[in-house]
Amino acid sequence: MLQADKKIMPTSPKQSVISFSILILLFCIAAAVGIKQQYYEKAIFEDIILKDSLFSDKFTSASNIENYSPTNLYEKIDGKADLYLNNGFISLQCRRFSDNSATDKWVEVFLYDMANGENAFAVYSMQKRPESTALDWAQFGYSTSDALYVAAGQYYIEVALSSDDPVLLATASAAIKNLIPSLSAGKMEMPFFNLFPTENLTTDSFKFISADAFGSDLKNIFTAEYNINGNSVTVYLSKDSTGDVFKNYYRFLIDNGGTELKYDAKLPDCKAVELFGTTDIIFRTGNYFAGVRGSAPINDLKLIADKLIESLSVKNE
Amino acid sequence: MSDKISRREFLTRSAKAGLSIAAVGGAAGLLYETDALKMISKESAITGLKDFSVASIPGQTMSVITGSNRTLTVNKAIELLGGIDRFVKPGETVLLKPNIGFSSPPRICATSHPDIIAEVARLCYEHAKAKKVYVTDNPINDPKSCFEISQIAAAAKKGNAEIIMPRQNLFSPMTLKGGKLIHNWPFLYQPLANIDKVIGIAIVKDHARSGASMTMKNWYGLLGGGRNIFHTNINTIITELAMLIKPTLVILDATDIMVSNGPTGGSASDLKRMNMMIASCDQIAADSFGAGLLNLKPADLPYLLKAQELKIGTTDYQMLKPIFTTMKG
Repeated sequence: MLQADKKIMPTSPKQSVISFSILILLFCIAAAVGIKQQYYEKAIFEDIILKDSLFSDKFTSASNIENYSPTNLYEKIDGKADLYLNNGFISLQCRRFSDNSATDKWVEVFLYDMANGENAFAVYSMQKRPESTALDWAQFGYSTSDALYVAAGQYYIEVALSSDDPVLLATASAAIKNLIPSLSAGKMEMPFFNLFPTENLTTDSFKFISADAFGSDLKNIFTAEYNINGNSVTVYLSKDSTGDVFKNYYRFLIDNGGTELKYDAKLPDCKAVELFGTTDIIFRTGNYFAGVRGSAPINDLKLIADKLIESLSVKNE
Repeated sequence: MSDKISRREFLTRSAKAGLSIAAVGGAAGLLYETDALKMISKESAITGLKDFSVASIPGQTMSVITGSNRTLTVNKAIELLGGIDRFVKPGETVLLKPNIGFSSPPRICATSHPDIIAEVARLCYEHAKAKKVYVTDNPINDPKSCFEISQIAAAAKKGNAEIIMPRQNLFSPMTLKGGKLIHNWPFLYQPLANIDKVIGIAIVKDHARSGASMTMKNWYGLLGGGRNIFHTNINTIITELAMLIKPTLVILDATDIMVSNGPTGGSASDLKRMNMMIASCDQIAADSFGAGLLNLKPADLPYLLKAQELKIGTTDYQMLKPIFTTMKG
């Protein structure tokens, strides 16, 4: 009886077509899934930079690589995210490594991809700790007793240590030194640095401010600190091929209550404005907008302004 | 009776089954709400918190202790306001709300110091005879690593306090009456729902967005969801949180303050030693004092002025006649 029930029914061409259609549909679904999976966020899966072997074999990774994009950077650094986002941030990769012999000794590496060297220098310079030691192996790098900070190529690197430990700092320093050649092709060119007068310049005081400089709309400016007769003076410089930067910043100073001072200017586009006890001498020469600001006597500011005009005139020639 | 069906019958049944599935799926798709919060009726949304504050005693609203040992200074700061038993009664439950935003060691002062958590928990149990002390926060980084690396998990254990991790089911939609931003927003409500007293424990930090992070900004850690959208209205959200939470007491640790690169810091070089501990029943007064340590005026922190306008507290902390004492040793 059972044998009789099992007799095979002949299949019709229509059934075959339906069956093949279903198989083709399933194949298409599988192919679609496969194609979709090609477009994953590679950084999440590729252990490309912060490898297990980043530190010597005495250290092992104590966490998986954490990856952050512009949309979720705040989940790692909260309110400080704006600084990076305003400076071309692309991604953050970070990872913690711990000492095999003492797991309470660890190092956390933050690798910020800032798209280009200027952006990396911007976030590096704007967070620079005044009490620090320059790294002799990095063009832009310094250490504190418990951390290491380096700008290399398009990357800005922070290394936080679990404690104030010179041995740990040396280990971290060696690891990052080895990592740098894979991140940067060599010395970063910062042509603007050469435009600043060298006399009275405070060493390593260069900064790049990409937005909202001095509370204004000034952006993409390089600054450096000078010490003249015991007073701190800031010199700033940016490209200004149209003259708009000069005009807009002058307007900003005046609109916010600034008073224009009498000033024997060497250039036609030159102004001195006092606002809330700070004086700005601003001018435009060639394709550059530049300024000197501080609460020092105007003659001291003028001294540096003249040097800056001289320096820019030579470069413009 | 044969159980065979004809091909026509098979196709008809298959079509009916397919249509049924499609109808159910389609209806579910139409009714599906991607924002689960919208499914909660206005009636079921939480519209405020109870008032956790205690009756004021003139001249005992704020204390400022100078000293380097946090355990001793926080103890003294509370003692000078009348002792912990002024704030916590026997059998009451207490929630400690530290700032555990980051997975950072206590050394860099991006998070509340564990010594303070352990000491306040001890005082609640031993002196005030509290029934239970809890510790909670909704960190920016992974909660487990934040509680562990900040050493607050160990401090809570030492003080016999129970940690409440910010699990999703502990959040409820919160609406602040008169608020512009806190409207049906996920809030870490359950730990506060049946609690008797709330003590905020914060540190003095520079903050890239808000200018400074102290006791008022500390309540930000009770928000859930994609709270970074509030960064563009940071002064308003901090003010609204101060409207929402009327704490029993706030502790502001200024032993080491983060003067730059906040709120994360990253190095001891971002810190400045001030050796101060503030306890206050007025969170605005405590933060106004803390602002001064960062060389800021209340006018530099608009949320302080807004909160004062709403009579949540005063920026003129001197008016409260704070008790200043220096610890020996």
